[in-house]
Amino acid sequence: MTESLKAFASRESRVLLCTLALCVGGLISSVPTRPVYAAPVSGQFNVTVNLISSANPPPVNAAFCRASEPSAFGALVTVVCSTGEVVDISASANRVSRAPTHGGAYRYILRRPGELPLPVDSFSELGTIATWRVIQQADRNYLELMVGW
Amino acid sequence: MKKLFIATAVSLASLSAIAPAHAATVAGSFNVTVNLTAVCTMGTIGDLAFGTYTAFQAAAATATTTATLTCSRGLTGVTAVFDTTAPGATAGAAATNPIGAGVLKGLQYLMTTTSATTAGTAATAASIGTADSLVYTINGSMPAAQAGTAPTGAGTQVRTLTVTY
Repeated sequence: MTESLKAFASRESRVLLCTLALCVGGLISSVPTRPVYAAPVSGQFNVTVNLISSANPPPVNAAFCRASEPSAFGALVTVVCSTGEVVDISASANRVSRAPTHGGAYRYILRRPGELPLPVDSFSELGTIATWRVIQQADRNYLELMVGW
Repeated sequence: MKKLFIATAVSLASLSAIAPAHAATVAGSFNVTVNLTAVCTMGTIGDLAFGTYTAFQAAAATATTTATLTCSRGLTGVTAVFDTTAPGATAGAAATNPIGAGVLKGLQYLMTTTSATTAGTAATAASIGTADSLVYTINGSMPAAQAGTAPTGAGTQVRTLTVTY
């Protein structure tokens, strides 16, 4: 009798375990399967350029500048150099050298006959006049010089 | 004589009944399972080489390179993005065709991309199939009329393209 009870209990345990396994398995299988992805992938590459100042490269410390061409008086004139310096068109206020910039554009006010004297920018620097022009206005004239050095 | 014939017939019938009997075939089902982790690998990306740029040159400089990825088949929603770690580097949001920009030797450059996927062949019982191929073409443009920053000479900047899938 005892052996029969043990056999019965053992059989019942197995049935219970199998039922639990089926339930758990069913639950797991019912969970939506999410796709698994690896980490993002990266690749490096070089961006390269060989900068030269002109078709005939000057010495390394030289620079190449270009000024925009004003179409009318009062237009903004910007001189940009390959050194990255932006040269203002107005004369330097402190009269000191503009080194290490290269070149520049300057505006001088000219007196007309009978006109009262105006403050004059009187300083000099070595350089070469690349272009110049006189601009006549009703009340005054301007002399604009593009100077390179 | 008649009885002997009948007895013999019965005996033969009994002998024929001794042959073994077989049941029908039996089958059992089982699952084949696998958990796939989709992967993309990226090949070496060539230089985005703008060549020689003369300060203030009249025409933009252009350059092209490609990034080739080998991926699990059927990936969707793949996006890519350029880095922003290089000096002066910027990048748009992650997108199918990412964009970016940067500065090299004081020269601004812009990057746009196009992408194309070539579907691989499915695996069969006789073949493992082939991967999808995803190719990003990176088009670089260095606008005209730029001054650059001295000193003149060659410059290199390392950029990174990251692909998320």
